[in-house]
Amino acid sequence: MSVENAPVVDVDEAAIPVEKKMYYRFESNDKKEFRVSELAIQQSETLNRLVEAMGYTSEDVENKPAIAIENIDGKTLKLVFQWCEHHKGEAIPVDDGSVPKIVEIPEFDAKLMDIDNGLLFKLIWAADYLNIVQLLNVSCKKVANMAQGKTPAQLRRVYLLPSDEEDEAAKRAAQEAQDPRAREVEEEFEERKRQGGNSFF
Amino acid sequence: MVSLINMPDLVMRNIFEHCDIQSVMRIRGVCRKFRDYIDDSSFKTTIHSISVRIFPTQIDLVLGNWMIENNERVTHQSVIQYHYDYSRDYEDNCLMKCMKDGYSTEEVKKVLKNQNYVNKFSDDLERILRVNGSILITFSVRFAECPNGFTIQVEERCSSLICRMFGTIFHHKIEKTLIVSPDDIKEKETKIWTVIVNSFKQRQLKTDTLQISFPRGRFQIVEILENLDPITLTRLEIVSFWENGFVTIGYGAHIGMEKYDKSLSQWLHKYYTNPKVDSSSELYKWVKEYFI
Repeated sequence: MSVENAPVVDVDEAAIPVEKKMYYRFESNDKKEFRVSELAIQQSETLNRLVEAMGYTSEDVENKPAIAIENIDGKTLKLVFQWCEHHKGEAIPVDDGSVPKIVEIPEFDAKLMDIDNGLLFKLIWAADYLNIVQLLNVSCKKVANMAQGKTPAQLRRVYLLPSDEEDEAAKRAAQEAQDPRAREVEEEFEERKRQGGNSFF
Repeated sequence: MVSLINMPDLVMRNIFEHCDIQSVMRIRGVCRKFRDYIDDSSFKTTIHSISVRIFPTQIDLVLGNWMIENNERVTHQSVIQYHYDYSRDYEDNCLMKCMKDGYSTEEVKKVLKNQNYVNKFSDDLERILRVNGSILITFSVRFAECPNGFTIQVEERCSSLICRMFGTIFHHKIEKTLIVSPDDIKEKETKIWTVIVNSFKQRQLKTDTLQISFPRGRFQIVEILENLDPITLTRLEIVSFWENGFVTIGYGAHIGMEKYDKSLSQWLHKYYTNPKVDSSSELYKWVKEYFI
């Protein structure tokens, strides 16, 4: 994709001082290019350090190739940068160790995360990889909220976990490895499952 | 495909720290990967207090949980009761009841077939203690004061209408008697004590207040005290009882009687000479008095 056609994520230009108005170009693993403001990049510790280390001038940004982010696809990266642009300039929360963390999901974030669970997990993975603390907090909170009041069977569907058949295949593989202890543990688990659930929770 | 189980450790912890302990335990039951992950991990949970009440045929586990409501931390209490299920003959079933907001709410019941209620409770408590990495406000265990063997009248053998009608017509006795022997109680209490002591041996318990009420002479309180984090501990309330009375140690109690207990004195000395303990806490003041 050429530089001219690269999607630009919504930016309130008036809010950015002239000297700060520098857009970095990033490329996802499926070759989609994004232009992201310097201020938005600060939300990601990983990218912020990367651009600081590169020390690009405004000419370099335009002339040199886009910075490749090899582990993340375009669809996910678009969500990540939309989030960063919306929350640019906000302070990065520091973990004070309190539990449960007081995390509110703002309306914008709730809408952004109104996606299928597969994409949501990719977004979480990307937030962790790029070290975007607040995005990780809100997305993890969303996943935690999904668990409330659900049965293990419902949780399996929600969290995209392997079905019983796939589990069985894994179990057979473990048995073939002929580890007597592993088999013992599996049998105990199956026995309890057969008894109609071993837990009240 | 990215699924929850493939997430890095930091992400899993972040998610579990937002979940209440009941959800964590339910997630544990979803698949073996989660079970292994949760069993091998310790993270900050929403629990702030754990209270165990042991009765002749029932154990209550009361969990105090932090929840977020309107951006503020509020506390909720959930009660999980483990009963010996005497409604069925010749089977060892566990009748569980759960009350979400303390004892005041309606209970949800479930019968776990072929499971001994003491074992079930012990498993759950062990798992919760193992996974919990949060500092507790209170950890409390109370053993019931039991006389030497007693009889429990069970309400009804059969609760169905037809059964009750036949019972009335034929004067059939619909009640049954259950004898809980002192040996049964001792065995149960020893198991619970061992679970608690072993859980703490694996990792020190971090609690602000410890409350224990236990039968004197049967257990050594030092087994628990030795595995407490002395830095977080600021208040101690121990009641050891026997048939003719009880002794209170710790908060508000008269000091002197416990000088006869050598191992306890040693523990108190270790606590007193630890430079890291908070010298302004109630417990420290009490121990100081003991040594003066």
